[in-house]
Amino acid sequence: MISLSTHSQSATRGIAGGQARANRRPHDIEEIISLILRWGVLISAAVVAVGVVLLLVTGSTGRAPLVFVPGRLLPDLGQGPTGPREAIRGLVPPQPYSIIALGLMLLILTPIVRVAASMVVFLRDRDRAYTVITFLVLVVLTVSFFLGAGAH
Amino acid sequence: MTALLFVLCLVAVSGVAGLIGSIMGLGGGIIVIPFLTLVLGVPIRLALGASIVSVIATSSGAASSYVADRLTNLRVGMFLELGTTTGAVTGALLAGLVPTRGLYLLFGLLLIYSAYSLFQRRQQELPGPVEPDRFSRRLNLRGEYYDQALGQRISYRATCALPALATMYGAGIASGLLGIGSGVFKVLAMDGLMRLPMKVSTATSNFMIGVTAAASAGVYFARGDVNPLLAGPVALGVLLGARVGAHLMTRLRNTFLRKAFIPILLYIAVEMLLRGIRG
Repeated sequence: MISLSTHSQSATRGIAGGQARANRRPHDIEEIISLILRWGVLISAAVVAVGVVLLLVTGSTGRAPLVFVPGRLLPDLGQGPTGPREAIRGLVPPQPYSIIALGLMLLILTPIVRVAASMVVFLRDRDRAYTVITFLVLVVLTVSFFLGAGAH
Repeated sequence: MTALLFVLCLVAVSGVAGLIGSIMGLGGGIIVIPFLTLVLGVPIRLALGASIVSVIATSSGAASSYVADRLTNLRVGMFLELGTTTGAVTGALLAGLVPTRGLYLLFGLLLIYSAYSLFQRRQQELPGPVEPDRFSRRLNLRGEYYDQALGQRISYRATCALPALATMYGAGIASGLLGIGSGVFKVLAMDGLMRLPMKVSTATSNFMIGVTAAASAGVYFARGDVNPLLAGPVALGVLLGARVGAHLMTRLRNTFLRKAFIPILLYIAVEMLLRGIRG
């Protein structure tokens, strides 16, 4: 058992869920998942921010100027991109619109990458039950994606 | 000038949504959607598209801290994700086949009952000793975290894994059919059924909502409902709010979280009952 309350917080962080087995691993699953989420968020936020700043500086989405009706806060939004290819077709030369869309796609991908990575870690740790569970979640995610894509 | 004001407005309101959502384990749609549709006059389709992005941002933005702090129970989260994702698919298949009016009433009443049971346990800081059932023990559903508000390490064990999985399946169907976020049900199932500490329940719900939302985000994207001009600033605001929320939450008491959850539950319950009554 782990002694209570004597640890500093940074020391207690090293103890993975009280499992002695996880102690010896240089990269336990919490560390890996936390890293994936942190970097996924940082990268996508940076890309979105670049796009938004560019949008404000140029006053144009790169496809159409930002038009505001007097007295209203909402600009003319136009049509959203339909599908990833349409969204990023304006990356060369860079359009604010497509840069933001790219950042959003990275943001959406982050949780999916997280599930896939945890499956790999469970597999590495020979944790059969959780390898199967995360695999099933990935399958369902894929099915739901295609169901939705086919339904419209 | 108007463009700057527009972006700042979106970032500010989404920041509040991210802050509250990350602390409570919810997606923040209850703030983002009314603001976009009622205040800005955004078409509901685009508001829903921006909201799904805000759910993912709330989740990933706060979860990196919660996972590192061991507040998120990864096993509980991944196990329950089985229920929410399959439920969401079922809900999508059933959409249009099942009359939703009765469901709104049913879930509205269910949430009012849940609010009442939360109110009864409003003074309960920790769940106390829990004797897990065999299945929960086999799945190794337990954990430990350092509680900054209490200043001590808390170890806990979860029970009722199968009933919770079934509840998650039902919640997944409901969110697929009724277009409501399922964060509320996740928190309720983990707090009430599995008897996890409230903080672990909201942090684990926060962890899970990102995956459920990512599954449907592809659909919204394909339909052209994710407009970068709206969803971009919303994502930035939510990410900032969620970072702040993740830092605040670790210092809050479980009883505070539970009490703060009650009015949110009642708000959603009333909204659903009204939709059910109006038809």
